[in-house]
Amino acid sequence: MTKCDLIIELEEGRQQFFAGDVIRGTLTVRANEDIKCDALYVRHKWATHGKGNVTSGEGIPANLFSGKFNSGDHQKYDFTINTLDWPPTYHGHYLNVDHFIEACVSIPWAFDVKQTQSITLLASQLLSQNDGDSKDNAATAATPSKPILMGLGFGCLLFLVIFVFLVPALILVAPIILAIFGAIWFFGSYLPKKKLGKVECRVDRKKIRLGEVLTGNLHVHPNKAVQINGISVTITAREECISGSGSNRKTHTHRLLETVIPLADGGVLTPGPKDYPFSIPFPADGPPTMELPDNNIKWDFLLRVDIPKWPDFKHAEKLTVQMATMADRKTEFDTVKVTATSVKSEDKVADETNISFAETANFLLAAQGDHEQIDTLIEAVLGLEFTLSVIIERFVLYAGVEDRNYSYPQGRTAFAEDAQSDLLLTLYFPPASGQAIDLQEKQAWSGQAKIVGYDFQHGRLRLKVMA
Amino acid sequence: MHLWRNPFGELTREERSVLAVCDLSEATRWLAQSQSLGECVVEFIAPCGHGKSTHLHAFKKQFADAAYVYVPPTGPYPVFPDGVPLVIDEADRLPWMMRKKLFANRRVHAIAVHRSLQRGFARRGRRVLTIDVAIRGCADRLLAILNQRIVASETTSGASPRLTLAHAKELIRRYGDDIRAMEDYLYEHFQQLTGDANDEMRFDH
Repeated sequence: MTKCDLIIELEEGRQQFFAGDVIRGTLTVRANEDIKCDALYVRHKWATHGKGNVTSGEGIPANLFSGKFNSGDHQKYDFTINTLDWPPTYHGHYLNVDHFIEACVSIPWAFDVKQTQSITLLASQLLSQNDGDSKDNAATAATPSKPILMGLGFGCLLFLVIFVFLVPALILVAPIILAIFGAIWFFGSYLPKKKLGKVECRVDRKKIRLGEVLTGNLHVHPNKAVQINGISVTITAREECISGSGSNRKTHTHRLLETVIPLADGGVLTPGPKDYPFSIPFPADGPPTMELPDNNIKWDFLLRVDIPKWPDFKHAEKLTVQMATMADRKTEFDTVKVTATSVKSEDKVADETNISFAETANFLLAAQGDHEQIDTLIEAVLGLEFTLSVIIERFVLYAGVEDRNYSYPQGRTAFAEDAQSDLLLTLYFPPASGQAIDLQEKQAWSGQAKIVGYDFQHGRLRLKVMA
Repeated sequence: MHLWRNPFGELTREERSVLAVCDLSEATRWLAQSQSLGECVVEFIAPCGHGKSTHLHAFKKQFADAAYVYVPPTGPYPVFPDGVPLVIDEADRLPWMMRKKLFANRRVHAIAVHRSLQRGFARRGRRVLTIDVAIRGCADRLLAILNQRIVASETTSGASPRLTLAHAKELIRRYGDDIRAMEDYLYEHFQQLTGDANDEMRFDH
């Protein structure tokens, strides 16, 4: 038996929070023996799990008590703590970020008693790396700090030593290095530009928010006709996690998304200036760029002009993908406000007449990003059964905290997409469903399912497949 | 699956020491024979990914004031911190001059190495017990190690499927004693595993 039992209860049983939200709850302490308590505190923590080295962070603890608990004491403490701003809860292949509330009784000369309660920090809209970026920029413009100056001094000294002692070696090695860099420049830049003439690739923004459209332009000016296989832009998002250290250090990469957008088909580029503008919509439910120690999500842009039997022209950019702001959400809210009014009147009808799944999907898509509006919609259609045709995206290994309320015991949870409307869904399959068990990912499935809720973290409608 | 994480992902040092399945009784008995501080030293030896560091972390956990030092493959090399005992991971990476300090440092009680440093300690009058930590084809021990990881990743909602002795034997057949390689394989396997009705685990042959 532990020295004491800790029970964390969050206000209204709430488990999902936005960055900047205030978490309110009650901590109950049941002492099983006399305890001298140095501190009783509650704090918000996060930690990664997966293939990368574990990294974690914690908020400022709220101290609730210090003193003595007598055996049999049953005390309740209300607490209020602020959520951390970053990173949001994320479950991927190699990288996962989980948030929790930790309560701890610090006991001198003994193991502390701890209890945790999982929470979900929804893709944060208020604050994100934006603020970190601005701080970074400010730091670049500011006067170099003392360690930087010392580092610069040390670097200069090292360079001088290398220069004096390794000049003979450099004389031998320099031509080889120059030849390598020269070859890279010659094949990677000079030859493609010789064919295409003046080439300018412009990406309007390297920082973009999820759900926004990335725009830019490719300008080419060939001096003579050039045969090409095509021009395309590839957007990739990948998880990059590092495990181990030293000689055991290993990088694990998992591609989350790769979208190829063709700008021009194969053919002949006639002489003269040509522009290829592009507009690439970014998925609203995609992951943001994350740069945590040893755990990253990276987004890349690659424009490629495929020239047959000749080195291709390539232009790569690293993108910083951020989450939507509260201002964006406000705009979305205003946009759907009119729809909201009509939906409310439709809701009443839904009880009496048979509302179709396509209509429900359309309403939900229109209300995306508006928590309140979706709540109203879900309330109206909760418990209704529909016949669905979906594409299974993938089955989920980790049942979220809320999933447990809906999933069948020993059943399976799948992410899917409505075949007609592209509405994102979470499906709970029963264990006995032989048909479901045989399903492979990226396969079509159709059947009867009941609406049981909405997953705000992933922006998905929750449906329970009828057993 | 009743799991809150993939059981075969990376762990913190603390978690590794808690989940270690290793018998340290021989090492403890050996150190108890010391007539003076640091007379007896324990050396955990094995190739990469076979459990040396895990043994060292579990060993360290037995002592409140112990300090852990990891020696990187290239410099800068760490300064030995305060703390008794000192446990040094990858001690055979230390350069000649620092090895001399290692052999002379009486606070060093346990090291993890790929190649034995017994002779260096012996020259300083110190006695070394070399323990080969590799599982040496022991399927029962491997099974305990892997299932311990699964148990530590379960949610309170229920039990998740366990590996069987047959699985352990198959893993040994494929990867020998390389536990890290098995963890890599099992990580991917668990990511793919979506929970059959009977939660049966199968290895793709």
